[in-house]
Amino acid sequence: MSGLHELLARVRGLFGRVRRDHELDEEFAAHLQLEVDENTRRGLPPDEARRRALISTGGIERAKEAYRDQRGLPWVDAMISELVAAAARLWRHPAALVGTALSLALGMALATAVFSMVDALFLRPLPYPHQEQLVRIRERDPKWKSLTEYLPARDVLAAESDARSFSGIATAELYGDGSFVGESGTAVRIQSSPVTANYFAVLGVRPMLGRAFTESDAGTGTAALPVILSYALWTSRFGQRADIIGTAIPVNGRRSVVLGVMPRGFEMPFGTQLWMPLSQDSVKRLAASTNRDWQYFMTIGRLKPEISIDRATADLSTQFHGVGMADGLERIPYSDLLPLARDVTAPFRGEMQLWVAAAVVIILLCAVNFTTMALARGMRRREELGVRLALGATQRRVVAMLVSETAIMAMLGGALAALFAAWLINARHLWFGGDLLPVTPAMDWRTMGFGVAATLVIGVLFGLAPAIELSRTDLRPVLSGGSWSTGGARELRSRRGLVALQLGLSLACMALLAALAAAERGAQGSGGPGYKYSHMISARLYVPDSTAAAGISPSLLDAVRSIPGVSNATIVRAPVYVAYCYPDWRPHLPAGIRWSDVPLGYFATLDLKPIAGRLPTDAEARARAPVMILSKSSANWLFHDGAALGRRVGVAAHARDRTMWYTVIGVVPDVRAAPNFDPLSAPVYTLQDLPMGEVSSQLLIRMRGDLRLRQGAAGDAVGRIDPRIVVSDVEPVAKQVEVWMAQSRSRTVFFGLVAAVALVLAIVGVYGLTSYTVELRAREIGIRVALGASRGRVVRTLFSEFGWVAAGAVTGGLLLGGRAVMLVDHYLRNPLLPGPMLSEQLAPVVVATVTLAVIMVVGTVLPIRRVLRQDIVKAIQGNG
Amino acid sequence: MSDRLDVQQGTLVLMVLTTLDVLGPLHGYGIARRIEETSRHRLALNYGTLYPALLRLEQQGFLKGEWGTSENNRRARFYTLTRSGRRHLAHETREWHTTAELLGWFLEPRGATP
Repeated sequence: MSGLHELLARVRGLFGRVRRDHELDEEFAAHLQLEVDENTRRGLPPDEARRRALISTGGIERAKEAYRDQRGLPWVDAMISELVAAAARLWRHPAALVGTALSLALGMALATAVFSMVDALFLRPLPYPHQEQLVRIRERDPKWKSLTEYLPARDVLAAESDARSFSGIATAELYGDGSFVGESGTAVRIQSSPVTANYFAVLGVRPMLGRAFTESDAGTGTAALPVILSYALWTSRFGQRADIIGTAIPVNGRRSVVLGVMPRGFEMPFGTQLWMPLSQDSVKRLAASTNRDWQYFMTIGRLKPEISIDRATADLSTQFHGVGMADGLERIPYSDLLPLARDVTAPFRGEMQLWVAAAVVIILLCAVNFTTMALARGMRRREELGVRLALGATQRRVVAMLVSETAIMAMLGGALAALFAAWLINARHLWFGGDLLPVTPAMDWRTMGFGVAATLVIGVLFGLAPAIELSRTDLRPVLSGGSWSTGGARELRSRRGLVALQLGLSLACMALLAALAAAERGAQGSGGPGYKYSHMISARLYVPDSTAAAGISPSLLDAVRSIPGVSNATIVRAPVYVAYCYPDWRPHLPAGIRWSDVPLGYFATLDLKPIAGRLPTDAEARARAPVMILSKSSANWLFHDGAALGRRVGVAAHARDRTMWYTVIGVVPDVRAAPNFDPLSAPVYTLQDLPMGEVSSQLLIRMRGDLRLRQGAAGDAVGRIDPRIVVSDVEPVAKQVEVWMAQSRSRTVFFGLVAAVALVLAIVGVYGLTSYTVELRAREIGIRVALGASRGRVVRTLFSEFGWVAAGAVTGGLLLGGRAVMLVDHYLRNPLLPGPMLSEQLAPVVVATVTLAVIMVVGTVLPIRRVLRQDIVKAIQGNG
Repeated sequence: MSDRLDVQQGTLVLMVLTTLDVLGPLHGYGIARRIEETSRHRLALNYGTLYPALLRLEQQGFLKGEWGTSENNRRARFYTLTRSGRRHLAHETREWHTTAELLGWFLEPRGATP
C-alpha cells in the first residue's frame, strides 16, 4: 500500500513545482536559521555560527536536487525536458515539422474515422438488456440454401410455439412503403412497422413517454389506431411536445392516437419511425391458409439463458419441419438463427472490411513514410550528430534525442489526425455508403484516444528504427571532413525494403481507391440516370380504403392529365422488389434481381423508348398479359448472348413463392435513380395489375413548359382531386436525382483526393529514400568518376540496386490492388449494372506506377548530378 | 580523519520514526539534532540525507508534515507520526531486532554459537 501511496504522491509532485520549491526553500532556511541560532547560543561569533551551519548542510543545491528527485518521477522529468529540448530544435525547422506531422496525420485520420465506424457498428453491444440472447429468426431453402429473411405467418406461429428455446418471440411486419403522417398535402412519409404487443418487451426496451402496446390495442377496429413514435419523429414533426401522449394525429388518413414515444436511437426494425399494433389474430388468420405468398414477418427471438443458438436452431427446424409436412411442402425450410447484433450490422460488414483494409494500407504507408523522413532528416543533421557523438554522447542518448523529436512530430500528427478524423466522421456519407447507419459514430473520447495513441505508437515505433540506424553509423569521420559510410549491406537491404514497401503499398492503395471511384462512377452512369427527369414531378399517394383504390385510380389519372401543363402521368405501386428471376435456359438457378410492376403509362411518362423489341400494347395492358420488359443490363445479365426477345423469364417474389412466367417483348435503357427505385436499380418490368393498393403508391407526372411555375399548381391540383387520397412529398424528380448525383459525385471526388494524398505520400517517401541512399554514397560516386566511370554508368549502377526491388514491389502492389478491385466488385457493385471498364480501374494505377518510377529516377539522378557538379576531389574527400 | 559516520542504508527510517514516536511533532532541524545527540554525535545528518528521507516517509503515509512556528518564531514544517507510521515503526523495530540477533550469532566467536 505504501508503495502505491508513494507513487501517487510522486505523480502529484509533478505539479505545482514553483510552490513546492518555494516551500522547500523556506524549510531549509528555517533549518539553517535554527542551527545558526544554536551555534550563536553556544558562543560562536555570528559569522562562524553561520559558516558552521552552512557546512553541516552538505551542500544546499545538491540537497535540493536529491529532494526534487524524491518529490516527482525523475524519468518523467527527464522525458519532459528531453521533449521540450526536441520541440525547441524542431521549431527551428517548422516546414519539416509540419510536413512530417501532416503526412502522418492524413493517414491516421482515415484510420481513426474507420475505427469510429468499426467501434460503433461492431464493437459496442446493442443497447438492449442481455442483447446476446436476441436472435433474428430466418429460414433457408434445403435445396438452394437460399436465405429467407422474412418468415411466413405459419412459421412465425411455429417459432412462437417453441417454448423450449425461446422466452419470447417478437414479430414486426414488413410494411410496404411506409406510412403518411399528417394531413394530405403536408403529410410526411415515414417508415412504419406493425409490431406484436410483446415486441418492445422481448427486446427489453420501454417507451420513454407513455406506454407500449397491449394485445387489446391491436383489435381497435374502427376506433382510433394507437401508434408509438420514434424519438426522431417526435422531435422533427412534433417539436418534442410534452403533451404528445393521447394526442390524435392523422396516420394514412386515419385518426390515430399517440400511445408512447420510444427512447432516442431506437428505430428497430431498421429506420422505423412509427410503430402500429400487429394483432395476433391477423397473424393467425394469415397462418390459417397454407398459402405462404406475400407474407413478410421480421421475427426476433429471445433465447432462454441456458439455450445455445445451435440448440435453438435444431429445435426450431423441427417445428418448421412439422408445419412443412402438414402443409405438404415440396421443400421444407430449416431455421437459420443469427445474433441480432450481427443481423443489424450485416449489411455494412463487407464495405467495412474494405475500409479496414484501406486504413491498414494507408497506416503502413504513413509509417514507412515517417521512417523515411526521419532518416532523411538525420542525414541532413549528420554534422550535429557527429559532434554529439564525438563529445561523448552515448548511442542511447542520441537515440533518445532523435526519438523525442519523432515523438513531438507524432504528437502534433496525432492532434491533427484527431481534427481531420472529426471531419471525416461527420462527412462519412462521402466515403461510407450513404448515411443510413443503424448507429451514429461520433468523435468521442474512445475514438480520440485511439487516434492519438495509435499515432504516437506508430510515430515512436517507426521513429526508433532510423534513430538506431543513425546512432550506430560511425559519424566521427564527418567531423574530420570525411563522409558517411554507405551503411553496409544490412542497411542497404533495409532501405530497399522501405522502398519496396512504399511502392507496393501505395500501388495497392491506388488500385483500391481507383476501384472504389470507378464503381461509384459506374453506378452513376456515364449519361446520368438514363431518363429525362427534368420535367417530372413525383408525389406519394395513399388511399386508406383499399377497396376504393381500384376505382379511384383511372379517375385520378384522368384528373391529373387534365391539369394544365401536364403531358403525361402514371401511378406506380411504389416498392421495387428484389425478386427471384429464372431465365428459361437456366430455370433452376434463380438470380436476385430488382423487379418493378408498372402500368403501361410508366414508360411514356419516363420517356423510355425501347432499344430492342417493343413496349406493351393497350390490349396487353388491359388483359394484364404475361409480358416483360427488361432493362439493358438485366437483359445482359439474364441472357448472356443478349438475345432476350421472345425468351421466357420466371419471377417469384420469394424463393418459396409460386413462379410466374413472362415473355420478354422489349428492352429499354438502364434507369438509375428513378423516383420509385433505389438509386442503383436496373430492373425487369412487368405490367402492374392494381395500381393502388393498401400500401402507398407513387404518382409521376411529366410536365410541359417551365416546371418552376407549374409545380406548385400541379401539387395543389392533385391534393384537391379526391379527399380520400393522402398526398405527400410533392417535389420535382430532379431534386431527388440531383441530390443522389451530387452525393455520388462527391464520393468520387473524395476517393480521388485520398488517392492523391496516398500518391503524394509515396512520392515524398520514394524520393526521400533514393536521394538519401545516393547522398550516403557521394564519396563512392566521386571515386568511380575519378577512375573513369561515365556519369551514365554511375546512374545505372546506383539505380540497378533498386531496380529489381522496385519491380517486385510493383508486382506485389498490383496483385494486392487486383485483390482490392475484386473485393470492391464483390461488395459494392450492383451486379446488374455494367462493371467499370478495366481501363478505368487500371489507368490510375498505371499513372501511379509511372510517376513513382520517374520519381525514383529523379531521386537518383538529381543527387548524383549535385555530387558531380562539385569538385570530384572534394566529393572523394567527403565534403559533399 | 573525522570519527563521524554516515547513516547506514535503511537505518535512518527507524531513527526518524523512533525520534518522532518519543518526542512527538518535530521540525527537520529538531529531528537531525536529536539523532545526532542520541548517536553521541557519531552520526552526521546533512540536508541531502534527511529531507528526501522525510519526504519519502511522508509520501508513504508514515509521517504528516504541517507548517507551524518554531522556537525562534520562524515558520517551520513539523512532522508527526501517523497511525500507519506507528505500525510501520513497530514492524521495523521487530525486523531490526531479529536481524541484529541473527547477525549477533554470526559474529560471535567461533564455537560460541548455540
